[in-house]
Amino acid sequence: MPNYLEEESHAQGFELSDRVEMTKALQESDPAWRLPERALKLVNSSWRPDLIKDTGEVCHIHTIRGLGNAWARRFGEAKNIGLRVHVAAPFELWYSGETLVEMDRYEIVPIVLQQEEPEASKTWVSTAYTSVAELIALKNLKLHATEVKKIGQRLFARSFDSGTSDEIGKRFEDFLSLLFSQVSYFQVYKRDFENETEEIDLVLINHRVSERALPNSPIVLVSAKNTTKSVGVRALSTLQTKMVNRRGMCNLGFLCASRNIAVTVATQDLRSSHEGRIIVTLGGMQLKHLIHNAERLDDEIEKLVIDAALT
Amino acid sequence: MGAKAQLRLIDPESIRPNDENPRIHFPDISMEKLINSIDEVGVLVPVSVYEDKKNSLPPFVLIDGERRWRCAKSLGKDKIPTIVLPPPDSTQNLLHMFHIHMVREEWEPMPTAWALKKLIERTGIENSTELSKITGLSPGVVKQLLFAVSLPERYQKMIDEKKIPLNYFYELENHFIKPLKNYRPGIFKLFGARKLLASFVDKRISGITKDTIELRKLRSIIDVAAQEAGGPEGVSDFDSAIVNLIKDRQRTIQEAYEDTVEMIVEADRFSRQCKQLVAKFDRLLSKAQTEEDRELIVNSIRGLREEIDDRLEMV
Repeated sequence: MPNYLEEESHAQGFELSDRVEMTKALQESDPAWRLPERALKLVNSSWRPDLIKDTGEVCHIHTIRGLGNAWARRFGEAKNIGLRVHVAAPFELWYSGETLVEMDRYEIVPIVLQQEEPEASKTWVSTAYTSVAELIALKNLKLHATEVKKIGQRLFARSFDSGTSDEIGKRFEDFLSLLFSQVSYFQVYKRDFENETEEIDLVLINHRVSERALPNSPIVLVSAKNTTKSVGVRALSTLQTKMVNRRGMCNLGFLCASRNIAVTVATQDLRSSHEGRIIVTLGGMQLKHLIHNAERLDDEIEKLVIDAALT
Repeated sequence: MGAKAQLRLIDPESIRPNDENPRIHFPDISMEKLINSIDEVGVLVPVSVYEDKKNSLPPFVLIDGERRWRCAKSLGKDKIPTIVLPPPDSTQNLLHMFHIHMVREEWEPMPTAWALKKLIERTGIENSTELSKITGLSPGVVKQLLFAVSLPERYQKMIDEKKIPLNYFYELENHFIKPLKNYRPGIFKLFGARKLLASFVDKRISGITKDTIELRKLRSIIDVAAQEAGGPEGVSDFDSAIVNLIKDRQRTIQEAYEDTVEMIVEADRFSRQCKQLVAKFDRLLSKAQTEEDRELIVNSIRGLREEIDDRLEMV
């Protein structure tokens, strides 16, 4: 029989009462979430998710490190039958590379839960991201090279899946967000930046460290083109214009194509080489090479920038 | 199984939790292990329920197996093995909870204390020995739990949320508040029990007092103060130190102990140890059977005497 006075008690992670509060927070942030009335029939199993939407989206609240077989199986089956799986977890649990690799495998939609005032109350605030890659990029999570490779290779392959132009564009941007977020001197500042006249796929902050041969460019722009046709001069000009419009803060850009960059792009770039801006063009093969050599990403990117400056 | 118990396969959606279950903390780490196990092999140990049809609520109420039921429900199991028992009356229902769960893992202190309070309200039994008999809890634990529910609600919440363990409050009560009331009543009346408790809860929350065992030093301070004062109503030089300790948020028990009674307590302890040493010497000497053994013991004490003589010369 326990003698409650024998030992100091210690908090042991999360429990049912925490999950109740997390559920409330999710429903408050998005009233479309509701409690399921019954379990869902999947392929070989059933599942009663924590929350469900009428649009066929389901939400699982995850409060421990790693992903057990029971949930992995259900996420996989849900994905196969077209259910979009959201996983809501406290922020500290998203800090695990292993968890991120697993969650990305099932293309889950991450929701980060954070407590507002841990001491005063158990109030949770939720922030949804569109993908695991977006979460990694915007939260500046640095992964081990093996984890970057696993997720990166998967994301790159997904760029070639069919879908609407928005969907395929977004998948390629996910890949690039991951890639550039893992360069130690870059930080993803924004995805899909828009003002009245422009859209920029990816905006990076350049924390250039002195031993790196990088241009003085606090802002770096990335243009993502996921098209079957080769990316041509027009895309280059557009990127150049966007860089010019950054009030002198942007002298480095990356023009990225999931497949090929047209040879005319190099010629056009040469014509404007006196203007002091560097645009690094990266086709599909080069991007694959970068992710395959994720442990050398910092060096490889630097080398590409230097090569672009010398051309 | 009793004569009226039935083993059936029941949809988990038809089952609802038992309001009397004191075990309201289910750590997710252990739930996750159970989920993976049930997903692999199913629910091997039936849950126990009784039927209680109420409006639109699920018709069966859990007696035992809430964790298994919750896991099975999350996994979307459509049927789980269930033992259906005759409905108990409300007191029996509560007692079932105690007895079924006593053979398993620990309950958290506050949920158990609240359940015990409910039982007292329903049965009118307040005697800890009687309560011990009917619940299966030991008399010591019953006492601890009764103490827990006597605390102000906000402190009960702190215990339940694991911000401060129950034993901190219990040690404070036994080594400070009660002794202060009995032996330094003037100081006790100056603050009252509530403020005394609040002062040391504050110290604990802000990390000034980290170790519950440290609270026992408070008893030493009070005992020496009372001795010095010649009784509860007298005045001691150490009273101001006690008052400062209560009033000053940042002051630690160790600081108060060092400034007041540490030397007295340590000297007293040392004096007792010296007497024990002499007694031990006599005992060993009487047990020594050979001349060699006697010499060994005598030489040890001679060596000690020489060292003590050297130090006394320096004093």
